[in-house]
Amino acid sequence: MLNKLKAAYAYSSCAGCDVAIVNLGEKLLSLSEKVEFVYWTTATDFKMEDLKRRKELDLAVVAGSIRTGEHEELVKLLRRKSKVMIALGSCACFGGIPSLANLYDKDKLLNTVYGESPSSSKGAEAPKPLTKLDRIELTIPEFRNWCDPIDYAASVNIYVPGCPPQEGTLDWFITTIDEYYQTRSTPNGLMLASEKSLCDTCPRKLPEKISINNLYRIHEIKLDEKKCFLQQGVLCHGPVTRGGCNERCIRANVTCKGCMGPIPKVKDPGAKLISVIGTILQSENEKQLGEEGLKKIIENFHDLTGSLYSYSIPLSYVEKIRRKRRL
Amino acid sequence: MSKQFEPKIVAFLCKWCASAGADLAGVSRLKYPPNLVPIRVLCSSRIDPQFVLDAFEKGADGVLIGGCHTPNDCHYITGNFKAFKRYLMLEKMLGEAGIETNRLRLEWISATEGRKLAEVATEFVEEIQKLGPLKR
Repeated sequence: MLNKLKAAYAYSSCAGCDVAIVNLGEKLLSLSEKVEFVYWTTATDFKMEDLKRRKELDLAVVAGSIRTGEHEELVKLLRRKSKVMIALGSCACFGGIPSLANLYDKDKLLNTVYGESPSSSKGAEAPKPLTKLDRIELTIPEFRNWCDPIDYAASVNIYVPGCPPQEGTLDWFITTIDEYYQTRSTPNGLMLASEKSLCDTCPRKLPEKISINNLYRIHEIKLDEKKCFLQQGVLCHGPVTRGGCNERCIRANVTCKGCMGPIPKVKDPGAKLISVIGTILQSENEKQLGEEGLKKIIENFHDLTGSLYSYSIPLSYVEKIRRKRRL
Repeated sequence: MSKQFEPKIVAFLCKWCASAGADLAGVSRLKYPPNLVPIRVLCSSRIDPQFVLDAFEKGADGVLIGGCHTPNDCHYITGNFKAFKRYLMLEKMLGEAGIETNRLRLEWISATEGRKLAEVATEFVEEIQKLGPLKR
């Protein structure tokens, strides 16, 4: 019999990915015959020291993005010790929702949370990495300038996208682990999602021509359960997002937000979506409205950048430009 | 004498109007600053927002989009409106990300307006010189 794979599971996220894994139920039992978890803060009682003492690991699963200095250290440590690095969930793969904070400066974020929010007391200050009291020194991990996907700090062998990864994706993930268990050949940058866009498998009827009056927010109109979302004037990330999630959101009458990441040919999903909206917005009345009319509509779009990159700000050009300016 | 900042500006010009205008500016021997790097595209609606952002990311300090006059000049009937909508959204996005929006400029330049192209180029270069380089 082959040796059991030693695995570590680190996370800095909402623990939704952990729940998705636990929800696998019986399939998890078959996995447990091949994999032994030696570090998983949610499920087992091993500490960081135990992890540091280990010489070698087979699998390292990371869920969640790199937000604090400690996360970065942990990801780098896991990369050094393990043979296969796995990014589980959209945060680890693309930055996810926490990375939306990258649109603001670190100081502004800390000031908003610890200074300006109604729940903070007057003159309160953000906690510092090191606080000196009379006799003791208290340390907390440093809050980094940027929130990054884990491939910022370490090379990744398997990406498992989704927020949280859907059952189909996780089944694929288990099969991949199985294969590794048998063959011990490491995949390189394998993305467990379809190469084609979500629209390709969308259960809704494909419209022939789309012209929308405005871009609505999801609460502003009543959504038809059969019509294409874009046709109804609601931003759906389907055209630029990888399929393979079994269209759960679409079936629940909720637009795609792009948690599976962009399709291979799209570098910047938000910019590509601008292209999409540019085509369909008032496409039948452009000349009647004229420049002024179109300007009025677009000026009133709410939080354009945030809605274009719900899960993928670190992939965007605007953030790359922002980073270069800061350095 | 201190060396003046020479911005790099990428200009996406549509084949039928703005690029023809640039040709006219050339044959009329009009003077305008050499900072423009013209890229001819078939239509201003061919300019994917990714091109513009890629240009900024790879070192352009400004991007100029040149197309046909609205409402009726476009060779492909409504291409210029598509470009216009994309430009507005790009501008909004740059603003939300804290990047100066006047680094991106859209101008309608017809094939007969070589003079306008020269004027726009001069004005735009001066404006970007005032803003300074994108990467600081």
